[in-house]
Amino acid sequence: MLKVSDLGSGLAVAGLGLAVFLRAQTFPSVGASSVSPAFYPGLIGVVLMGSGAGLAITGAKREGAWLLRAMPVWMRRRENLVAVLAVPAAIIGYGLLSPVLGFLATVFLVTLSLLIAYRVKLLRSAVVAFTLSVLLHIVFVVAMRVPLPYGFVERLLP
Amino acid sequence: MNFVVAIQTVFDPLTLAIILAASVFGLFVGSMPGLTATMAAALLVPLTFYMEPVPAVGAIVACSAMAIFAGDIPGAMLRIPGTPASAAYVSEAYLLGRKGELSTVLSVNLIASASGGIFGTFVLILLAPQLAKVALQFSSYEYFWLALIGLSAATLVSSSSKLKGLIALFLGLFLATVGLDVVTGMPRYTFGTISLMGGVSLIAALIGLFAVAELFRKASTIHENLPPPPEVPGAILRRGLSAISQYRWNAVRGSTIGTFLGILPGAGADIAGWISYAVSKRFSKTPEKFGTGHIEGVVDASASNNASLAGAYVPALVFGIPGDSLTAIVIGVLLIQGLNPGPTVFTQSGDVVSAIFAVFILANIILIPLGLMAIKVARHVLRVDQRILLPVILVFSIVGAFAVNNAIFDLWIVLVLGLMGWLMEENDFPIAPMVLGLVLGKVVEESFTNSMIKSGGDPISFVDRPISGALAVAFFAIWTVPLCVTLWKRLTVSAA
Repeated sequence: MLKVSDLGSGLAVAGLGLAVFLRAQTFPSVGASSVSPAFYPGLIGVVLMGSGAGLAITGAKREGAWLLRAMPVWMRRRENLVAVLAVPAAIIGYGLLSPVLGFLATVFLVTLSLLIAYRVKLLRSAVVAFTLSVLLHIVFVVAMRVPLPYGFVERLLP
Repeated sequence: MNFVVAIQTVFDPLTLAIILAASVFGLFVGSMPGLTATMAAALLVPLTFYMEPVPAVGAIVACSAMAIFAGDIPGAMLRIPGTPASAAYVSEAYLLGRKGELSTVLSVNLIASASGGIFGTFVLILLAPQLAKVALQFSSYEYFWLALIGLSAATLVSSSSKLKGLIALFLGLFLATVGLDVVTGMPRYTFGTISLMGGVSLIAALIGLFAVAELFRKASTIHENLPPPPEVPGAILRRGLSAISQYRWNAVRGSTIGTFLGILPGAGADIAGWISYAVSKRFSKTPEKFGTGHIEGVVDASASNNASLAGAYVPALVFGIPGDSLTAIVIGVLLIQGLNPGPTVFTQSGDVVSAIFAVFILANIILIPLGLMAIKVARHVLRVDQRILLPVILVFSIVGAFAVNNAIFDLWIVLVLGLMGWLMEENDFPIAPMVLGLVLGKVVEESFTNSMIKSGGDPISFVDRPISGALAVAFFAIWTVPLCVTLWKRLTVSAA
């Protein structure tokens, strides 16, 4: 992951704190309650602003005015970059495909794609993806009776 | 509390099967370099959602005890700690292995872990019910201060940078405010998203912060192969028993330190290992042997990290304040199961509490045979292709996070918090205070709001009861004493 300087991360935290605080000011008070719904998140926003500013100042004094400290090694190597990007791609892929294809087909496709991205041989990838799909079906659907998304493969099952 | 009923519950065939399966899973995850005990527990959470309370908590207890021990195996074999809890003595254990003492060191790890775990469990059994009786007198004022003390200790202990620990804590507290306001029912930070009305899903957050963040980190080095692990020769247990009998008082000392560090919110197994190793060296008759492949410090630290697991359950069960990330997960599991961690759990669900104690003892007893098997097969387990293991764990995490609420939205929480957890850890922000903030955020706000409503907005009522006043003093002391000590040191240095 990117090595961000303390100045950069401090500014980001202070910015988040400001956003949290400003948003909290839009929460209306209800009745004669002694505590407004804005009080607690507003306080959190103030602490985030203060601690973020503190981190940014100490970081700037110690490291200078740099936002990024270093470019990680994995970003410079294509196979490692693909390996890292495959993680969010798998989560997004499952989220988008499972309502359409159903649980079994999506697990098979996502696992197969991940294994291919990690340079595992195709036949081995297919065997692992198939085994994992069946295993997860047994654990979640058969044993725990979780109603996972139903798709065309499930329609073929008895 | 009825121990007979508790034992009957634990020895139910299904519960035993779940504990055994969780133990094997914990041994596997713990022995894989880069995968932590917390990750193993987080991965189990979606499965526990569909279980009864005892097997649910039993699975987490057994899995974490096994994983903490199993982290010693790659440490001794490859000089790579399986979990951060083994990091303190990994070099010592590896050097012992290089001297031909691999069987001895792994056996010492195993026996010391089991004995430390049992010691911690007995302290938990003796201390927790007594503290719970005191805690029954507590009102929202005391809970407010207790939650603040727990969060403060976790922040101060968990990171070398207190400022980064504080930021992580407040990020967690902020995440806990998302959803409907506890008093007015007004939506906060939901941006019109119905899926956020109930707040940030705790299970999705745990999987994101502990599992997916680690998978991101592991993916960045996926093509780096582990060195070939050596074989573990000879009879394992006998060698360890003779070493442990030689250093039995070290095991007792490590267990004691580990248990009480476990009780301290935020310290956990990692810090227990480091401190016990340092104490062992400090009081050793042969400190010069430390760092050259000497078993003494390994005994202390191995006992300590497993003992801390049980110790961390004291504040978790008695006050609902997690002692470390693992007990933060357990609190989440108890809440999901409809149990409210705190002193009332001892009166309302005494059988469940007794069963948790029984599971702790059982887990540490079966650690010996299962651990021996794990040592024997470790050579083969460590050869598992990481390029296959990572996708399997990732897909399991995705399906697990999704299955709890059948909600695609939870996957976006997993993704965002996974990225955030990775970014934070790579930049030295600790994750544990953030999770504690997420778990305790609602407790802090509810106890504060209830107290303010009860007192009609009078802040003096927070300190005018004897226990709440003492807790308030303790809270302010936690923050001001270290500051005063630092200032005093600076003044004396400049004066000199």
